[in-house]
Amino acid sequence: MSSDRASPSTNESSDSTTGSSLLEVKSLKTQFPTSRGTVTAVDGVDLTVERGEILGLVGESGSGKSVFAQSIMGIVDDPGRIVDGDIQLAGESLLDKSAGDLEALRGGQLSMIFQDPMNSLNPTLTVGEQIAETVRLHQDVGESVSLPAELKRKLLGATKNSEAWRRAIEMLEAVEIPEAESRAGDYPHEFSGGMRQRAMIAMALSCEPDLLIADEPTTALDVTVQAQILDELRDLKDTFDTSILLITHDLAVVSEVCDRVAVMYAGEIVERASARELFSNPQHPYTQGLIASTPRLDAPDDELTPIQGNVPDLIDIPYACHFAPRCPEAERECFEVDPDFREVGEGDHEAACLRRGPEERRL
Amino acid sequence: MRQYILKRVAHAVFIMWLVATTVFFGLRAIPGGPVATMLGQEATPAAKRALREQLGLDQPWYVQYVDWMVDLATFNFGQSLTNNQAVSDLVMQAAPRTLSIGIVAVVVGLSVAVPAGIVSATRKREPVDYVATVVAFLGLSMPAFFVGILLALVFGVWLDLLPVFGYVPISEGLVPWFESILLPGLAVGLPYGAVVMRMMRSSLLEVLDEPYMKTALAKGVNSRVRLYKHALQNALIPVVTVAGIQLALVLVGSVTVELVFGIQGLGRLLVDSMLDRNYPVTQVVILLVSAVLVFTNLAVDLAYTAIDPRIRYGSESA
Repeated sequence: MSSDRASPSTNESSDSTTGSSLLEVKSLKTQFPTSRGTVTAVDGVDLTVERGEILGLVGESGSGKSVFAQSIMGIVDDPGRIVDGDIQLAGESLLDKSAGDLEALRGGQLSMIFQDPMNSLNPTLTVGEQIAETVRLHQDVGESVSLPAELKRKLLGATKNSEAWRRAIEMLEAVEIPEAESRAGDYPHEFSGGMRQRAMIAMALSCEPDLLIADEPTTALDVTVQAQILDELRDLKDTFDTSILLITHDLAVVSEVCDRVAVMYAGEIVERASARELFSNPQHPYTQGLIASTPRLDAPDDELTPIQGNVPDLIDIPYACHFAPRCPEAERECFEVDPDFREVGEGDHEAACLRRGPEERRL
Repeated sequence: MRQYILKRVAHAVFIMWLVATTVFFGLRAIPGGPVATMLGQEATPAAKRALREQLGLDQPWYVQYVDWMVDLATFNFGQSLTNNQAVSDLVMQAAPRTLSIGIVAVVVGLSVAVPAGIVSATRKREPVDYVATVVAFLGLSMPAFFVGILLALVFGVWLDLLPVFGYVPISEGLVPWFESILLPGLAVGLPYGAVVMRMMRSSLLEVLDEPYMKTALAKGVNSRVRLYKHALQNALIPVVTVAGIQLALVLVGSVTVELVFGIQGLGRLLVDSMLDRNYPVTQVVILLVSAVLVFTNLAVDLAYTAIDPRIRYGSESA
């Protein structure tokens, strides 16, 4: 990892705005009715992303991270529904917006990159066209985005000297695709995995979004490529003045790039802290377990301690703290009393555990 | 690409040779023969021998085979054994009829099936989808000749709208021609369209679930552009395969449907010639049919390059 990078400038950028958080999610609840019962994939999540920061959202597979991301984008798969709570982007509620307004927002102010770069680009459209399309949709480049115009473009090819196409090449250059001008005319299958994810990032950033949601952006990539992509994300965050919500199950990724971290378990946030604080002083038993079960380069002889059991099915969980059945410290009350957030360390370090926090409130 | 096409054409010629050889020996392996059929059981051995000589059937099999190959290579298809008409004349007479039926079947089949598949997939589990599905399953489960009988009954007999018998050449007017082949065309086209429609539906449903469709959604593309620009081309890839391969269904279908509608097409010619052990006619008709299939498959493979940018033939892709 190169070290000649300006440190994340959390304070500066949040000062430069009105002071309100960029993204504020309040007790969000997303459910999927299924034949076996209601799956509550996101169960009352509170989360804020400040301007200019990278917030990591960590959790095992099945903890509801991706559904949370899709809830913010408004692209939850059927039959999933947001049943409760609110999502505010720059002070405006997204849940009140019309479908058309949301469409205008997606890809513009709010954009997303996905886990699987191999399949997230359309194999029948050139990479340049896929980026140019986003530009046409959200920036005033004077090119029609009506269906006939788009179909004509598809059949005859986009004009290579259009504003949107030029912008696409610029974006590919920004994510360090070599020979961007000729590569823009390539199809996704002519790109390597890492290049495809770069192209995805170029697409997501092409309209300078306020918030970029990156759902496991490096999971499908080689380790060396992972590092490059993360580096690039961090650089681009500053260049494009974007906040990032980085969703991952990989603690190494979090410690590498995030300013703050939220830990998610079975649809709920269990701990929030700055990245440094979380790794030096993890408090929630789940976070502790997660860190203990991750191999460390600096102490390779330490034995790994896996967390016993599995993430529960998110259908009608009958106990209060969702982690209680796997928790080594769980008492009877943990199954009965909903845990509230308590101050457990420096700088807004909070954990939702009855057995943590100030002495007088501990179980 | 040119190299690839040349290779494929050479390949096709080889397959045609295999077919010709198989047909040649297969036909001669069937008991009976033109002589027995033409002269009946009570013919004198002398008459039989005379006829065999006249037909060239007294030659050893390898001489006959080489003759047949040389004839094929020089496009000399010989004469019918039963009435001495040139085989090429017989085929030229029958082929336009079958071709007309086939074209109606394919055009109607595709122009209904593709949109129906799209509607069915985008309105999954809505009434339209159920109607399309029921019609498709009827089409899949009823053989073409049975559909033909039903159509003839409804539109020909009960409603008296269309003729149910015979063929009118296109030279006698476009409308009468079209009327005479519409019902048989529909009968052949329904099973064909049903297969294509089901494929279109399932393929599109699969594509709509692909991650790149979520990408399009996440970048703010509206649903119509998502469907027609992002999904359709991907969904068409398997549909083209099926539509090409199932042309065999059209050919098979028209053999039986021609009998129902009393049209002297290739199917009728093939069946009659086989019953008469009329070797030259049978051989040429089978060769023609297989040539159509072989070259459609080649056309389908070439169509892929237009539809799927991942497919490039030959060494041109650096």
